[in-house]
Amino acid sequence: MTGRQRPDSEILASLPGQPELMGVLYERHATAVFRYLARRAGPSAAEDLLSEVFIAALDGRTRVVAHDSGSALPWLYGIAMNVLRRHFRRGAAQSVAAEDPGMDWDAVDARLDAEAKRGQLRSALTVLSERDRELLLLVAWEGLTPAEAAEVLGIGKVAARSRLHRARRRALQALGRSAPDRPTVEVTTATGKEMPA
Amino acid sequence: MNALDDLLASTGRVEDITPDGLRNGRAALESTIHDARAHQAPARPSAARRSASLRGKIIVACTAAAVAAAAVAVTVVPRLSSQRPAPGHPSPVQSTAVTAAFVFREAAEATKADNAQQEGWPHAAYWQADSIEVRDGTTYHRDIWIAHNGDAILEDGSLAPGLQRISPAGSGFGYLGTKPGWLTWDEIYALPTDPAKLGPLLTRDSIGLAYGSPARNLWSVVLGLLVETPASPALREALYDVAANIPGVAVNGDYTDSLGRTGAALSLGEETLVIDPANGQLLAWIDADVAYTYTFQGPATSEP
Repeated sequence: MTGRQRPDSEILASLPGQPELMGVLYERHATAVFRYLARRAGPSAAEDLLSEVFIAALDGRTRVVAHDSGSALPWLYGIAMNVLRRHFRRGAAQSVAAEDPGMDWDAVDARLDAEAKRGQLRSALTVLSERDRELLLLVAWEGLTPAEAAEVLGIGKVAARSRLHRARRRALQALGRSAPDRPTVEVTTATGKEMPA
Repeated sequence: MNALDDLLASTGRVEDITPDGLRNGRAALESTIHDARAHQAPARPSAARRSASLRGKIIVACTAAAVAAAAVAVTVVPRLSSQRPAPGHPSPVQSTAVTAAFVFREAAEATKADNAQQEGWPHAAYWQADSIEVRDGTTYHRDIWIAHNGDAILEDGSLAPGLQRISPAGSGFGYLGTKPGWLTWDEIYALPTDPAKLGPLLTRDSIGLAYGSPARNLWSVVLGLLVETPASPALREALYDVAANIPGVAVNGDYTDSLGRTGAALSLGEETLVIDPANGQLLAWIDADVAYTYTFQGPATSEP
């Protein structure tokens, strides 16, 4: 099986001795990582930051352990999250950093202007802590399972599920509607996939 | 769905990265990869030695450079013209051009004709795939037993010595751009074996990969479903038919693998597939400077 056809878990295990396999992960996941960045920082910044994520991943290849799902994406999203924070702290995004360390709201607003959703999204998300918001968005926008999102954020799987449930309830309340009274809810991700929250 | 789900679904949609953005990102990464490899240089032979050694260990009738070249068709391969003509297809004539489509269609017909067990092995316990891997001038053995349900067992000298146990999440089959993770045994058997249905399905499922073009994405998905998978002869035939319609795949002449078997080398981008059109058998796979010769693929009743 060539590098291109190896599962992520094998590639991650081989990366310390075969750094060129990072190119395979790029080919496989660059589009998804770009979307992650673009949703939070806008497409222009996302293009600039994309290679930064994979270069940082290359630097950290000796420390990576594959998630139980076998996918490298949770690991890459975790790195992307840190790259975004650094980006927002840097001079080009100083005004953003003062407002929110995890989201460029100007870029998000610009992206959503045409859909008249900017106000609603802010209402729903700004009532959440940065970690809870990221948990909600990793599941809803990036299509991760709650367990995978938990790994990105460095929290336990059980804690992630309860946090996610609370975050959803709080965000719904902020939208002016009461949360559905049921123990579990279904989340439809940006990719259209349904998974238990 | 409720108001929050509606909102998140609609606000999560973003434009895809531009081809230039994708290429620029890859170029920046490539430079860092080069530096990382340079730091490991003492343990590796030089590029020139690697190339020479690779050619020495695997007799490549078409050179690595030729494999990478993107000629759409080459002068006829004499061995191909001597094969029996595939039903419904004209026999190639000496000095005419052989296209990748012709080779794949011949392989598809042979797969249909030479395999009685068209339905494959939907209930086998394991799929065993043995190969010889040549990487950076060093030869390794790679044997894998992929369980229908449960852990796979892998022995791959290029990764680690001895047998390794791999969870099902890390040992599936193929790779689609639209599905995180790998296909299961049963999902492989759920794929249509009608090329008219399989082609559009795989084209759709290769969206999201980033090999540089839709054709390249589809090529990679098709190859992933052919290698180290329990795909039935009927599915392999359909995959060859789908491959026959991928634009830009080039025939790069004959390739003699490390077991002395000769097949046709078909390339797109950095990935080359070697198949024997006479029987549809997959012989080898070359990915940049790594080459795999497949010595056995078949069902197994137990792990080693």
